[in-house]
Amino acid sequence: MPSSPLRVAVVCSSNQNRSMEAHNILSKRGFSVRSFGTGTHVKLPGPAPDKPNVYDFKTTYDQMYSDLLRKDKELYTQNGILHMLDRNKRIKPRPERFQNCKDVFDLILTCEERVYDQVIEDLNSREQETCQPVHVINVDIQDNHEEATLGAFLICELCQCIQHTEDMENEIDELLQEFEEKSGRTFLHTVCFY
Amino acid sequence: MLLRDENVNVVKKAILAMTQLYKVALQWMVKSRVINEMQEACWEMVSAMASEIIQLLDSDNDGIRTHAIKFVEGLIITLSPRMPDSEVPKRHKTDISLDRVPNDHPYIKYNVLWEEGKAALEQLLKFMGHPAISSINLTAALGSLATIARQRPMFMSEVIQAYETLHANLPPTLAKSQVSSVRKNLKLHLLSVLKHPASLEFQAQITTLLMDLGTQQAEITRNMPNLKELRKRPRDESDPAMKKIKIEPALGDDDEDKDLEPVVVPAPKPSIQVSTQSDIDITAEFLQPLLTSDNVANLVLISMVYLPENMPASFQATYTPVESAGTDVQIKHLARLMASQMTAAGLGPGVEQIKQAKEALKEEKALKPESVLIKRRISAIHPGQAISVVGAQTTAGTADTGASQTKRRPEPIIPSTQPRLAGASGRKKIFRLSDAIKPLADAQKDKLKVAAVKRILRSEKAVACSGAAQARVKILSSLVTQFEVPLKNEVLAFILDDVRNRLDLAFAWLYQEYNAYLSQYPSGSLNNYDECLIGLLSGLQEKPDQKDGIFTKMVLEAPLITESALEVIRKYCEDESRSYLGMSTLRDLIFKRPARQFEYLHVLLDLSSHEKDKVRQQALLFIKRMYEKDHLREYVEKFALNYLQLLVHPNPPSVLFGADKDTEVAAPWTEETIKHCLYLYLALLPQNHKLIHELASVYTEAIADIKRTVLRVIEQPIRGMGMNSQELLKLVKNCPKGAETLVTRCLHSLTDKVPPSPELVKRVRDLYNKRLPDVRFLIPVLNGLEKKEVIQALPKLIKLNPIVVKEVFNRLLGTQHGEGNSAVSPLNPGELLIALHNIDSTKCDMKSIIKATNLCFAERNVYTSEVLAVVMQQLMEQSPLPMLLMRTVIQSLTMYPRLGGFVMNILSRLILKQVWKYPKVWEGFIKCCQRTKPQSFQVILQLPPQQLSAVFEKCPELREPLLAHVRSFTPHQQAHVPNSTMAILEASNKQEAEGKELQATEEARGPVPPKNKGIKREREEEAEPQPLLPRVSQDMIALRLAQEKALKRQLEEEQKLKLKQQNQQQPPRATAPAAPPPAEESVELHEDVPEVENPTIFISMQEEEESLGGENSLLDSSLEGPWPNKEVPNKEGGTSSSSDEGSSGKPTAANQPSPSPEEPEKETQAAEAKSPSPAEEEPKPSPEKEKAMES
Repeated sequence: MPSSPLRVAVVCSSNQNRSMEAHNILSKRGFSVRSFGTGTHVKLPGPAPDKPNVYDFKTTYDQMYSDLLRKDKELYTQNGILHMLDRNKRIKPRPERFQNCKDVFDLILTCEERVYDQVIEDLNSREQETCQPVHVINVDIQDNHEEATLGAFLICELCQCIQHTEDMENEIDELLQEFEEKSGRTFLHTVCFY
Repeated sequence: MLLRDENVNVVKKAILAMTQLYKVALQWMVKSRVINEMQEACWEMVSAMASEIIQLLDSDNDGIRTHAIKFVEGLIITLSPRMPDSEVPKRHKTDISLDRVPNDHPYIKYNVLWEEGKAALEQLLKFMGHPAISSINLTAALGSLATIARQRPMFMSEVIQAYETLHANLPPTLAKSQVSSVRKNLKLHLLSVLKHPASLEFQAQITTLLMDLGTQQAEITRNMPNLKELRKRPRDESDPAMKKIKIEPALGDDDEDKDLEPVVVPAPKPSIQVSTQSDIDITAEFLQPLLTSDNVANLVLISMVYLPENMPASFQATYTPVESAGTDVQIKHLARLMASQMTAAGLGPGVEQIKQAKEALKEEKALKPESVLIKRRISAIHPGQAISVVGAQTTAGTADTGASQTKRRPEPIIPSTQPRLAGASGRKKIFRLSDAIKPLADAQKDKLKVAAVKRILRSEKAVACSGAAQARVKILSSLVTQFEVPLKNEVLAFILDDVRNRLDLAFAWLYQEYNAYLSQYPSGSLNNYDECLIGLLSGLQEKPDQKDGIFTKMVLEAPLITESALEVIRKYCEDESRSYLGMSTLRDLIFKRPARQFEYLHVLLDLSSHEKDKVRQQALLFIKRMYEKDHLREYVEKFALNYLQLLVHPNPPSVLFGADKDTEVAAPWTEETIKHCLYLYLALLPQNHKLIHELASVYTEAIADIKRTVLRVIEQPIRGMGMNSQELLKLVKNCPKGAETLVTRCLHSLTDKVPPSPELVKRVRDLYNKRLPDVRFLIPVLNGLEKKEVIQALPKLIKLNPIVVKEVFNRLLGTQHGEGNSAVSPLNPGELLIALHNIDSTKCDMKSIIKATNLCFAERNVYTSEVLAVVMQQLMEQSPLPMLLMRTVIQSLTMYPRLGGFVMNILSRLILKQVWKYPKVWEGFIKCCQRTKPQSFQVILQLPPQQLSAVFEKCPELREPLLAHVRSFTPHQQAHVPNSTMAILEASNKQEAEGKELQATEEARGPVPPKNKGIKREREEEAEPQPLLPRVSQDMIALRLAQEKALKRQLEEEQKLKLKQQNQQQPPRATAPAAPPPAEESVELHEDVPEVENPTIFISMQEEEESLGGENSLLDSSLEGPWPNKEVPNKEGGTSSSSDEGSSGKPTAANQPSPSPEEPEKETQAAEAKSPSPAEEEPKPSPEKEKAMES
């Protein structure tokens, strides 16, 4: 579909790090992109592993930012959370939950297998109307800043390749195979229908 | 139509639209009770489009297929009745489905649509079972099936079976990640199906599948349909199973393994409900008791054979270790898995039973076609494995009853060999052979071909390791034989790369080519074979190192040597560094392939006249050996003689220039071309002496150039023949007319080093006496002649060319042969000199004799003072006195001053013999006295007064010293001096003024003086530029001395040279090159010599210069005679500045006498003119040499 820009969704669990990083890069490259989380809550690392900061999806990034700033500025500056939130709030006001979005996409990219499962389950549980296909691709990305950046670039490259295909649905299979070989990662891929 | 649009997106949209439109259209049709034509047409079009979209399942485009799947899903749902337990999406509640289609609709036929729906499902199932389905299509289809199963539970059975089949036979084309994607999907959809209450029947299967897919028990349980709902359901049979399941969760919570035992209860339901039992079930049941340990082990062993080399991705992804191996549950599971496989392949009792049931149903159907209810039920049972209906029927049909028993062997699970592949029309769906392949361009084909051969070539090492080298060589050789040129070149290059190790390949190829030729014999062409052989041979030829004889091996083992191959061999031989190898190869060919030996021999013979020396020598060597073989002898001989005969042509024939110039070339004979014709002949000559006569006859006919060359090259072989050769003797005896020079040359060659044999001498003498009185014949055999004969021939001999004369003397004096002087000369040196003196001057002019004696004197080693003394003694005793007596005396004295006493004695005795009666001798006598004063005073005083005055007349300057000498005597002594003598001594003193008068009277008185004067004048005339002499005489004498010395040296050197060049150089030649260096030395010596030797002679000369002049010039001329010719042109320019002193005098001395040696030569030539001498006709590049040889 070279003529129409791909409608892309990037999904991770909390719509903070991985999906936002990719969102950032993809939008800079001119994709029509949206990002989501599939978790029930937005979770951010806290002072200890068992004490995460939990927000619901209604909380804006700004609010989270100021909350964490207030809690422990040094810690959250040091682990990059504040910086991340700062970036996020410039992209969009608040995280979004995938299950609550009824918009139609051409391509959904997920950042880990659990998220992929959730996305597919959600898509399959929806009642079908248009039979419009949507391709769901999972790219495993570890949830840290560095991997997020690397993953975002990979996703971006993938999207660009798909965007440039003559007939996306016909070529996506092979394209993914090539990509697997090139990147040394494996992708889960399926098609769902709206 | 949009469905056929070029743009896939348009097609997709059209399909999407149709998904909705179909339902709308159906509804519209159903609602309207009265169908008009337009509606009819519209529906027809919709139906057509629907079927077209179903066809699009086979589309090439993945996306289109995906959409088509979705459409088919919608179609199936629409065309099937909604059931009470159907899950109905809220939004679709109002959608039309088959149950809303009235049975009595005038146009829409319920049954038809129902069948259509089922057909569509079959299509979909078939599609899903395609082995090459893409992962996207597969996931889409999985999703669709799940939807269908939930919305139309009557299809649940088919769906579950499809899932099972898929699970067991994941398409082999999927990549690893795709496999996991598909499995994920499968699991998801299974769970969603499981949620549906209608799945209860199939729970066991679903659970097993889910377990296999790695689903946790808890999750499965979570997705179980609500029990309460189930309770309400009328189907009680399932209860027992349900109870078990209810118990199970408690157990399975922590056990997430695929432990199936609690879930998969030995299902009693199939037996109860025979009609609903699927074929898989039947087969599984059938198999279960058969799966004993032995059988399973056998099965495993058998299937090992079919295992693919690499683990398929799907297997890798799905494999989990079997933990409950051997348990009943596991056996049952296994039985079921196998059953699904067998059913898919159309085997097993289940299939047959179902088939029978189907047939029964068909009959039933035929009986009550309208019975929808029954039909519906049947369809529910209908196992109709869409995947393999066709295959199942055919196999089952042929296998008949026995099939179930015999075909218990499981089909190998190798994806590519799945039987489904065969007859499946769906193959072209994804894989159409004609699409995937396109004809290659020729260039590309060739490239591939070459690449393939290259790979075979390169596999050398690997193949060798695996022990298939023989096979490889065979394959290559037979392949190559069919190849075009570039490939052959490739192989050739490969072979040549390492010939030693690839020789077997080379031969295999060669023989293969030959075989190919033979197989088409006689019409076949040898071209390929030829090319192959030549390629190999010339390749080998270019190799630098050829010590290993591969070339020879190749040639000798080749089945056939073609013309061009022979050419290559010939080229090989022409390579100097390899000629030996090449020719021994040729020799082997000649000996080992008698059929064509003359062809090979011819090549070898051709090489014998090759321009490269080494090659030629080598070839000649080989031929000589061949010549010893009788059967080859004739051919070789003929060849040699043929070439020899070419020499009679006035111009060299074209043969000598190679075949390309076929006209008789106008070019003259050159030494090269002449030699071409001779090499072989000359090589053979020593082995077959008879051949010499051929040469003689050719020689007489040949032109001068050829003769000369022949003479030059003949020496060696002649010497090889030896003088005892009968044939040679015969030649000498017969000496064909015109071959005289040849014979002479032969004689010279023969006697050069060894004295002539009596036999030879006899022949020559006969020849000389009877037929050809040319004295030159005698020269070679001089030493074999008798004394008398020699003396007889001497006058003639010395008249010859000076160089020849020199050689004659060398022979006679034995100076030629160095220390190996075994030749006993018939004359000893003294006798020779005496003989010379006694030559009748009427027979020979004086000059020649003088020159001859000079030659004698030049041999200082031979003519020692003793010998000379004897000679003088003997000469003096002769009567009359020889004319040259005094000359010899003076010369001896010059050479050996210590002979002075002896000479005085001679002089005194000469007075007794009245020496003054011999004018010449008398003249010499005076000169001698002059020279030997004051020693000679004593002798002079013995002269009678008259003669004394004559002496004074000639040499007035003698008087004073003589007078003083006499006066110094004691008075007693003075008294012995006769008065008359004293008177003359003193008279002249008194009558100084009258001196002239007295001279006049004396002249008048004796007849001698005038004569004397006459001679003197004569001599002075000869020595015209004499006036110059006084000035330079000192130098002249020095020069002469130097020259004398040089001459001696030269002779010594000559002898040395002779020794060195014994075999090659002929005497005249040796002299010629040897001469210059001494001449040069003589000029150098000139500086040193005078200081040592001059003084004594200087004094004597100074006073008598004038009178000695004539004699001097004579001496000079004779001495210098032989060489100024050479020296002046050659050396004059190059002499050092130190020779400037002498140079002013030398040219005069040199120029003046030069005509004199020329004269006798002309005379002799004139004399020889009668006998045809080739020398006259020839232009002479180096006259000396040639003349020397002729004479």
